[in-house]
Amino acid sequence: MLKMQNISKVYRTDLVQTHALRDFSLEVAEGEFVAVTGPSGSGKTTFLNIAGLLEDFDGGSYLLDGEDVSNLNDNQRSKIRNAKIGFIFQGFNLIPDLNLWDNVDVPLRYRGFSAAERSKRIKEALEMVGLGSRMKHLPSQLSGGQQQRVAIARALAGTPRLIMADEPTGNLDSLMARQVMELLENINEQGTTIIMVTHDPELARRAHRNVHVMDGQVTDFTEFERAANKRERDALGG
Amino acid sequence: MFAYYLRLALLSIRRNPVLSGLMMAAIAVGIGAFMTMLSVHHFMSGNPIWWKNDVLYAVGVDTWNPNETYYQSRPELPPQQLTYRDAKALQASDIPTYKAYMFNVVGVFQPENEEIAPFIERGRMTFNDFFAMFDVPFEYGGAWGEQADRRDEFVVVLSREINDKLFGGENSVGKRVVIDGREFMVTGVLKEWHPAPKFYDVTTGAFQEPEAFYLPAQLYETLQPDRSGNTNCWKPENLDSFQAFNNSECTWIQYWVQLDTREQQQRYADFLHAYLQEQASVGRSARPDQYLMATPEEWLEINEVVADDNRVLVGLSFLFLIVCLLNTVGLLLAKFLGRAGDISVRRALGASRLDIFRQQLIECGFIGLLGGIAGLGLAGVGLMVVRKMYRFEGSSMMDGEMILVAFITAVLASIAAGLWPAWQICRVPPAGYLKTQ
Amino acid sequence: MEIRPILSAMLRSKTGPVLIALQIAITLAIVVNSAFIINQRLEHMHRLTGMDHENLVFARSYGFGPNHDTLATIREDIDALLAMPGVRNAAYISGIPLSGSGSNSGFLPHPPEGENDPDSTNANYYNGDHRLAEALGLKIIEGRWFHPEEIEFDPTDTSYGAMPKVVVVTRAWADAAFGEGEPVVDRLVYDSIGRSARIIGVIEHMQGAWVNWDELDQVIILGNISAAHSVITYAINVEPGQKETRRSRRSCRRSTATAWCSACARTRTTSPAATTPTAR
Ligand SMILES: Nc1ncnc2c1ncn2[C@@H]1O[C@H](COP(=O)(O)OP(=O)(O)O)[C@@H](O)[C@H]1O
Ligand SMILES: [Mg+2]
Repeated sequence: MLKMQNISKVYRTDLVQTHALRDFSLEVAEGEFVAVTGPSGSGKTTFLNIAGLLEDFDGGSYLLDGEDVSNLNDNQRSKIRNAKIGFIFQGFNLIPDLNLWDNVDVPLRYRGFSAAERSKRIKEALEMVGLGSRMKHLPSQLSGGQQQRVAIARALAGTPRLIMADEPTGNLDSLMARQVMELLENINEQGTTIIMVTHDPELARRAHRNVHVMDGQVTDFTEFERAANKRERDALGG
Repeated sequence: MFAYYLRLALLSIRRNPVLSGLMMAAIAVGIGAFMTMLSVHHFMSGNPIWWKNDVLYAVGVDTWNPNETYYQSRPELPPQQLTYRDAKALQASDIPTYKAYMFNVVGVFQPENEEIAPFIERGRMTFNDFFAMFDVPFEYGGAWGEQADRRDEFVVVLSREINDKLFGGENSVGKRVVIDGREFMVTGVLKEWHPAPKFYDVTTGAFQEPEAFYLPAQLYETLQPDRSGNTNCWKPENLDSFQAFNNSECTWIQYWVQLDTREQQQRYADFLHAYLQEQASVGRSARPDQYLMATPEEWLEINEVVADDNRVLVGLSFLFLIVCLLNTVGLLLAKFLGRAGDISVRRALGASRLDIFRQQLIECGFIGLLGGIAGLGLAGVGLMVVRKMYRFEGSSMMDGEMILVAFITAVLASIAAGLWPAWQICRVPPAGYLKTQ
Repeated sequence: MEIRPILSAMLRSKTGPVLIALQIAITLAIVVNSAFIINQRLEHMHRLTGMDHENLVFARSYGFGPNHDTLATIREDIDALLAMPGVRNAAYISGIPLSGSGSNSGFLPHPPEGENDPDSTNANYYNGDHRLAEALGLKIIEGRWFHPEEIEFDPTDTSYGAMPKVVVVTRAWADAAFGEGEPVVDRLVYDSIGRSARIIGVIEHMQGAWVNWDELDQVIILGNISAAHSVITYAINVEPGQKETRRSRRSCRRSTATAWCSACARTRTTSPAATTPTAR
């Protein structure tokens, strides 16, 4: 599904250069559920942004779904984001003056679906996250957990092959976090590849595989099967 | 997608009522000022007989002062009007399809109805051809018969307004009216007719209302009416009687002909040239090469119907519109910057730069449209003021064409104002403004 | 929606100052140009008119019908006007100053030599009667105004500017025709065909009909009543504050920069005067 080799990313601000990623290599197979962990500032978000074609990278190679993306123009990247990738952000990033229906509608609009198709997908997606009855509500009328579910519905509505979630539970209490996690697991069971950044070791453990990032590099893989045997060590991945 | 963008524009306006309101106000004020001036200009520079512009000609012949041309700045032009002698001589030519000299008079109407006090009106003495030549529309009846142009017949054509006043708007053809103590029979009543500028006689104000009544010029010597137009004399001569004045070199008559073919036009030019040569040969002051055949458009230009001031004001108001637009650019930048988060999300979810650019421009156009509507209202008020100031009467100055121009200007202007801000905003990197909290 | 942080952000960006500079530059251009136009207008408006505009009303009557008697009409109309409360004075004049409609001709300080005597000096001229100076509020700086018996009327002479025996001129015309500061009282003025009249007085200022004309201040008032027009104009001087009331009593409209004008058509036989706007 996704193959990164020796990716590097440098942020240059006036005087400082930050190597957000260096020699970053990672492969994710179709249908996998990968949890990315690592300390703050280690480059997790940068990795997700690059993987999700939201940002360019400076060196290395990246194949997404078998396609080399380094030479795509902005328009082509937008199309791929729209059709193949669903994003879930820590801060929800719903559009405040659109109601739930219209928020979920956003990626579908750019996809060029017919009105009927959009309508069907929006309903299904919102029902799946349990908000089918609140389609006319504005995001501000919902709790944080509900908002994140709307964001998930928005990510799902276009039936992407890959979902990128950047600390999707970071702003939620543990109960809500678990609900969101269950949703993601359901989605994954239906075949969608999921890459999730998280700080929560318990949630990370529920993924197939953990990837630990440190100083812009993958330092450790923890296969799901092995995780059960090495709990102590996983606890470090905060 | 257009409808979707329009809905987004509405939402965005609702979300930012203050900024959006300021933008609309800026556009409205700019469009209001610009459209006011442009409408005045459009009104002044109109050609109310454009469909006959290639066949109608104002005629001038130069029998002016041998030592001095009529116009100092344009010595090649003959005087604006004709002498009575010249007008009568030109009227004898049978080359034109239609031909008519004409001038302003005043007359007092004494209505039969004793309740209505006598009142003064301006009238025009001319020929039967006047009405056909200028496509003057009739409500009732028509022009007087041709014979009234050759021998005295006391007949009159009334304007619609005066017919309303005298006969309550009824068909008055065949009825009698008393003007200056004499009875005239009505042969026709005009429809509403307000050519602006009043191209056929600009001497007493190019935007004056047309006359209230029309009499055959044939009656001039019989009636000896009070003339109310512009009279210009150069020659020291005794003018102490009606006869003396008519034989003088004073110019006071407008002359128009219709020449349908090139051949007619050429022959008429030759005729004017020959006429002037003949006048010079009998010892009259005449410049044989100085005759004029001006189309209505040329005539309005020669007579500087559109004041230079007006052109300057159009320019200034356009600059003002630009200042308003620069304000709008600033406001739009502010508004779009405030929306960077949303745009970032849309970009992340798959909107291309072009999608975002379009969305912003449609919003600008929409704001421009609303601003344009308000601007039209302001222009309406502005025109009312202008009308009072310049005393333009009759026809409305804001026609459909101008309203269309106003909307197009408003929308294009605000789209233009939006180009830079929209370009800025669509370059927002997709990941740049995503909220992390 | 918080505007302030956004505005301050905008000011910090590069575009903000550029926008503001452009606006200032264009606004300046507009202001300078407008100021120039306004200044031109003000110059026109501030020229001394020499007349008592505050309290002046003009009225017109149009004589018609076979038995019309111009002199009798004028006498009766003026008597009637003087009898009206609030009217201080009323006089005959042939046209309304600054109205855009009037007469102008060349006059000379000596008999004309040939058709194009270069000494011919343009003057806006009016016909006026013995009350006109007071009615208009003109200031006589040399000589005197007309006596009643000097005002002539020849109904058979329908020429414009038929020469009377006596005229009054403005200092501006006297300066232009005779030379700066020349005494002109009792000297003769000639029209273009050589008829002459005696100058009996000089007024400080008065104006012709056309606001934008350079020679607006060169005026001659002829001491006679013209038979060239059937329209008779009256200059009416009302008591302060009466102008508005006078105006509202008749159907009048603003006709010049400063004067109100009403008009009425009347005959000798039917007396109720109709009021209509003046034909220009
Ligand atoms: N837009 C940016 N400009 C400059 N530096 C950045 C930018 N984004 C991230 N960084 C820096 O890159 C490094 C990695 O950041 P990030 O990927 O956000 O880490 P994480 O998500 O793991 O906390 C950090 O040092 C961060 O300060
Ligand atoms: Mg992060």
